[in-house]
Amino acid sequence: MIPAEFAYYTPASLDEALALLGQYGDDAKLLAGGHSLLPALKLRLTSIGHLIDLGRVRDLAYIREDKGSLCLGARATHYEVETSTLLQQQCPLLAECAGHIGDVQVRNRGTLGGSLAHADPAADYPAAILALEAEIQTVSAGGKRSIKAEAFFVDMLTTALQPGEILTEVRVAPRAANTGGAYL
Amino acid sequence: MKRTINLTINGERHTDEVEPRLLLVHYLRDVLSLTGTHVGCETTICGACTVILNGQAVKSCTVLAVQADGGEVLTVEGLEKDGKLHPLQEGFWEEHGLQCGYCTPGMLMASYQLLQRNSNPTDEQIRHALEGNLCRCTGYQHIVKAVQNAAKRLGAGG
Amino acid sequence: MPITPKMVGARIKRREDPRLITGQATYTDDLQLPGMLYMSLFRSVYAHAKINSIEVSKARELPGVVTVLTAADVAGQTGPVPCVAEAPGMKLPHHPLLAEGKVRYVGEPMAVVVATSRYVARDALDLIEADYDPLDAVVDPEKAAEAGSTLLYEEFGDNIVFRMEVPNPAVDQALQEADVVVKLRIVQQRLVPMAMEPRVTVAQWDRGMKQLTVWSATQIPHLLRTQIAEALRVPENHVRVIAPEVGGGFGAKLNVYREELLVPYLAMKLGKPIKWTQARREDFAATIHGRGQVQYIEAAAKKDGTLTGLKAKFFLDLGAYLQFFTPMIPSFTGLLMHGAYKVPAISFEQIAVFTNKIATDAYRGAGRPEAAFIAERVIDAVAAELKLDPAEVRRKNFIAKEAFPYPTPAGLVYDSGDYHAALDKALQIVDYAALRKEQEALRKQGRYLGIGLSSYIEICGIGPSMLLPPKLKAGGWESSTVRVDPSGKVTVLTGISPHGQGQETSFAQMVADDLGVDIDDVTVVHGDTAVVQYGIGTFGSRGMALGGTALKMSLDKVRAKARTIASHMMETPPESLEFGGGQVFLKSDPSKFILFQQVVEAAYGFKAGVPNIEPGLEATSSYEPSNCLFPFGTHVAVVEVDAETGEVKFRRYVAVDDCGNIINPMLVEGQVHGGIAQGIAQALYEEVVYDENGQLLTGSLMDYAVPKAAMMPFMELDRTVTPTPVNPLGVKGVGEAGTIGSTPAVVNAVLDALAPFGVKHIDMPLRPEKIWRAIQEAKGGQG
Repeated sequence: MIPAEFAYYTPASLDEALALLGQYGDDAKLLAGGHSLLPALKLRLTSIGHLIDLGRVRDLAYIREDKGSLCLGARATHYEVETSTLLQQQCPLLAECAGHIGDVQVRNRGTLGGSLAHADPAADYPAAILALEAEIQTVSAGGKRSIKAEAFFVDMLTTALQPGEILTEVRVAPRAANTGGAYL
Repeated sequence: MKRTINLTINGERHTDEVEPRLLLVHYLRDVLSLTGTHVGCETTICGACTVILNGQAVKSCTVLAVQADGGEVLTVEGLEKDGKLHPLQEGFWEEHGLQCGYCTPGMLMASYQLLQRNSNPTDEQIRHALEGNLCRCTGYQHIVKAVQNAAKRLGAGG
Repeated sequence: MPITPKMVGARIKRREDPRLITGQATYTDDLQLPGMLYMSLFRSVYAHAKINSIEVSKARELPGVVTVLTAADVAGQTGPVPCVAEAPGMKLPHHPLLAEGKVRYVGEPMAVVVATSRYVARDALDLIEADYDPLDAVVDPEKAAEAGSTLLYEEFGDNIVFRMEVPNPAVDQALQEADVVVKLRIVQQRLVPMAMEPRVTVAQWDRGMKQLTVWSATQIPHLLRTQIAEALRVPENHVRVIAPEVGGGFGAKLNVYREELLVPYLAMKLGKPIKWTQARREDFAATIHGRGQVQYIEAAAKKDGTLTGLKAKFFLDLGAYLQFFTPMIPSFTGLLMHGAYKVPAISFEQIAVFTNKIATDAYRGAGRPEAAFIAERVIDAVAAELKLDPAEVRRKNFIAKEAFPYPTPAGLVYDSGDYHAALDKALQIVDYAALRKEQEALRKQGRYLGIGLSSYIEICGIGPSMLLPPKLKAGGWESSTVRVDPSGKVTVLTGISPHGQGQETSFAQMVADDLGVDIDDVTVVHGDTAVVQYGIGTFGSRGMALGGTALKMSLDKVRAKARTIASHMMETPPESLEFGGGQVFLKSDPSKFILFQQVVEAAYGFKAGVPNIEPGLEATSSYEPSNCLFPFGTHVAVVEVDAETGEVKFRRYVAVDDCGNIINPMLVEGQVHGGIAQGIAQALYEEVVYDENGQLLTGSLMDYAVPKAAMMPFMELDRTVTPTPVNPLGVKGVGEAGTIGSTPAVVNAVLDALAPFGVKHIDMPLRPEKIWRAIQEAKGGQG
């Protein structure tokens, strides 16, 4: 029920967050909604020295259309994904999937980026993200890169994210005409 | 290293120095003595600790107090207004929506969120909306009725 | 005539609720005492292991840690954890506060930490290191009984706690002569009681007054006081136990746990108030489990469905140590396994074993769900075998309503009942005949509707005191005080300890009617041994039946005294007077009255010169029941099983229960709803799973399926009313009836749905996967 001690940071920008990640390396973890990481910390299944809370980093919580892609900021909550009119119209599978995650309180708080970065095989998003052939955008000190969903999930609880890399956005293509999807 | 946090809880401003690892629920209960919010598990399942944070129902056992810094929290203690029970409280009382009362504050706050998003929910919608809250006493039937009762009261202007 | 609406029988809103719905109630963990310290426990990760050493020095050095103790520090300082129940030839192992030499279940406490905060107390646990030699774990209760099994206690020579046989040659004869013999193997899986409030204990030692105060989430404050006084060697009149608001119990808090002795022990030793709050994972591992039986049943019947004999062999999975009532709980199973049916001969054998698990003990129903399940499954199995309607087989075997009081073959005496009436009503509500037709029609479309009946009976309000073990140092009675203050307000002190049942309301209803006072002028106090006369507590559906009867006795005494005073003041015979609307009035002419308040003032002012009475207006009573109570009813579950997925969907759930007279129907409905939820949970969802190493695989709410709102059916309730002659209120208990009645109804319904496939049995819980597999296997078997 009680996490072990850690140092806590609230960077105001991605650059600040990257600097902190660079400084503390493996002993640091990013916190978004906290609904994958905090349960693990509370059960002491994992422990960390430095917790970098992205909660103050502005503009990671959007869902918008950009150059023909649907772009979801990493800090978009499951509830925002579930209820996004844009997604309901253009990518209903993802909205439907988000509506199945946990419960209302978890959907209010948990984020798309946090869930993907945690890569729990029991989670709801991975299957949908794979099926949608999404692209995952990241940023690190070395610059930005885009990872295809099929390359992103490496193993149970393991992704292609490198140390010092931050997941910033998920991009999916809008639903093409005469296609459909369902999340069961 | 402790951090200073500022929160508005049930309309009152609070400033405290807390360990970063302090859970919001422990901040409410142990620091502020707002013990209406309960802890029933440590795995984000039971919902007894549900509060409204910045307008959204959250499980306060899975939020750090420092994450809530600058935010507004509504707990069960803040539902009553000017000595008048909230329609949800009236509904739970009228329909016998509680027995031991331990899950009740969380149920009330989750229902509060539901009625904000859906003012006239069906039986099935209520059951779905309360999937994050366990009750071991009632079999849920009177809780469903309680929420419907409250919805009617709210519809009639409280 | 004063007009007061009658309170008893009305749906009065609960007087407990305002504090509970506003967050103002005080549960044990809500207490904050100056200088309070926090306790945490280092627990075994092995089910069975020899302890070589426990290294605590690093934990002791952590800033904020006050002390860290192991068995070496506390052994001999206190008495053991008590088990009051006994069985003939029972082996009672020493039950220490901290593991001595060996650990015997996952979660067994090995060391205790006291620190200045919850957080530091938790941190210190990570700094403790134990060196153990793991041993083979004893997990399967049938294998535990075998010669050559690994032993939990070498000194005992085997794992048998006790073996008890109630033989009856007539049963064997019945089996031989039967037209049909039905054999069942039933697994009553272990269940977690899962009160929403985990266990919490706080203790404070006042050195000056030599006074120990213990707040604990308990159902039995007085019994706990007696046990704490004995274990800690403190005079009992220097121990005060308070059960504050308690967040559910379901039997799990009808116990005395290691922590409930450790916390006060440490509070005395350190001279500081101490709090221990159980984490939910500790609750799953180290609070008693319910059920835990493997049952072998043989039933003999005639061609027409008449039962002629019932034989059972029970393997009882009692766990590693014996808790408060552990060995006694399963005894109800054999005694009641013929249920509502006239079975001329029964016999049973109990083989109780130690296993490397937390103990089993009372969980809602406590031995009776396991009995009702036998009776109700046997009836359905006989009906299926003989291709008879299960409702008809029930009717054929019911004990007739003229037969009460009915002496059973097991030596009990059923108090009252009308089993036909409850069954008829339930079948009428669901329109049974139409359902059967629909079932037939749907089967032709490949849809599988199932109709499950359960005409359960149970035993509750256990008394007389002879039925309870001597080591309990108390009996099956209950106490009350009714105190009218000089101001005319009424206080009830009850020995029961409600934790959700609502007697602050139902008892106030009784007072309002009997004394003719406003219900708002009545306060019901419970759960504080310094305030309330000795009482027994709340468990076994006894609150209203025993506590309510004790209250009735005190009310009668207060009424008699008030009548005597009023009769003197009004110069009229006492028996001509009645109470109502705040008045004492002449029955024959209600316009002639005095105020109840005048009577109260006469009692306290004592100037009216009433002969032969003492001052004041107060009475205390204890009620010793002459017999147990036997509630009953019929539940009907109507389900549809999806043969492709194994999913069970409820169509209807109808419960017709009979708990005698009713004080507050709304509270009774609440009890039945909650009971049914837990019974359905056993049938469909919940199961404690230990692996072959004794590791608890269902150690949290992530792995153990406590039902959510959407998993529960809408329950349609109705009732019949057959008052008991045992108590003057005519009430029986209702707290457990729903749990006892519902499990077999649901299982019978699912098996009824699967009858076309030839599926005759599935072990609980009937999860979709198991149902789907059973269908596949049955299909395969048919080739």
